[in-house]
Amino acid sequence: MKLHTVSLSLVLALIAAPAFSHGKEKHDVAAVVAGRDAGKAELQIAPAAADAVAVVERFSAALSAGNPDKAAAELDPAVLILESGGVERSRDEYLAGHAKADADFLKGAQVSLTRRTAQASGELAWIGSESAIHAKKGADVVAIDSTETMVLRKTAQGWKIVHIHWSSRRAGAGH
Amino acid sequence: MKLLKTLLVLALLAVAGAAAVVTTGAYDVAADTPHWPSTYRLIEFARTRSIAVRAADIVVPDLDDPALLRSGAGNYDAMCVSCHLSPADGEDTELSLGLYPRPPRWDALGTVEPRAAFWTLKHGIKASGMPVWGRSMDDRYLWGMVAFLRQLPGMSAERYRAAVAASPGHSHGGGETDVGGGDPHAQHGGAETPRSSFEPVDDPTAAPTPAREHEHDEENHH
Ligand code: HEC
Repeated sequence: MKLHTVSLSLVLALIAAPAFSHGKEKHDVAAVVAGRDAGKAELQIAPAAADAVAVVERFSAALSAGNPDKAAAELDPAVLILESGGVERSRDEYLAGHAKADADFLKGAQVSLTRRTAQASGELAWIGSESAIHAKKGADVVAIDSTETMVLRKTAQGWKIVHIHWSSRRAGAGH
Repeated sequence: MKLLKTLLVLALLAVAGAAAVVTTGAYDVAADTPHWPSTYRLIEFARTRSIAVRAADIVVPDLDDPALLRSGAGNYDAMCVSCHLSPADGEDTELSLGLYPRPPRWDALGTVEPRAAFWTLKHGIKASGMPVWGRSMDDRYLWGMVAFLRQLPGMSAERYRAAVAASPGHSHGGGETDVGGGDPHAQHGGAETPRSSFEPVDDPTAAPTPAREHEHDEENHH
């Protein structure tokens, strides 16, 4: 009977201790302000690549505005898009594939460009960008490190994106 | 004053007793040695209260929504029957027999208050076999299962099989993420939109998301 009581208080202690020690570790959803921001970015943009960078910016801005069709205007019809092991082999495939999910996701996300380097040689330009993305997921905030390589070719209609490679991981996840 | 002292001594004794039970290994964690009935009732009471308090403010969607019910049938059949069984397959499984506490049978699940059922699904129950489903599934799919659970009491095997067969996807009702899946672009039958290109493929071994900047900076020290 005595052991019984002891065991009961033990159970009580076991139940109570974690209940008090678990802090509510909610990240502040209200702090996520949807939109794009390059104010703090470290930029290394070769003058010859400036127009190509403007195209990339238009593409990203259109996606963030929730407008995949407008974004697609910057893509070469035969664009090759690689993303975390997945492939889309044309503009149409992207539009029918990930474009909508990308636009939906970016529409509510806060994207801060942290670093960008852009070079051009003749009719080709390549632009590497690193961004920190904060997005709301239910009551939580997900923080993502996102990287992007874009290759553009100069055509009669101006610079067009011929290749994109995206990859991302949770912010702070190992190396 | 004397009473205070007595109380203090009793409290110390209780702590010492608890410590003794823990350090001597006297407490038996075996799942096939049941709790004393009073301990069991206490834990059950603590669980019920814990869930009721946390679930109180949850807003319940329309649980008669046919779309919810459709998605719930397939998901229930794919994820829950190994422990909770179903009208179509009431045979005990190794899990339904081996877990302690025993998973309630499907017909009992149907009587759980919807908010409590949703909360339990989303967060799981510590130190029991009930898993956390909220990590891998969106709320609306969890609600789908809650809606379906309510229909279970009295459901015939035929009706159950028909409901599962009518559910979208091959066996799931949709909503699952590719946790640990090899192909991040794999689609499970349903017409769900794919994961966006900017969200990392969920890695079940990854550390929980540190969404604050300074933690990120700490990662970058050299
Ligand atoms: C690995 C076994 C297992 C699986 C799989 C499982 N459960 Fe459970 N579930 C349990 C156990 C064990 C309990 C009892 C926990 C307790 O009493 O502390 C439980 C409890 C519950 C409860 C609470 C019952 C109550 O009386 O409050 C609900 C609701 C529930 N499960 C629904 C589901 C649904 C829906 C699924 C499928 C998505 C599922 N479970 C999958 C083992 C499981």
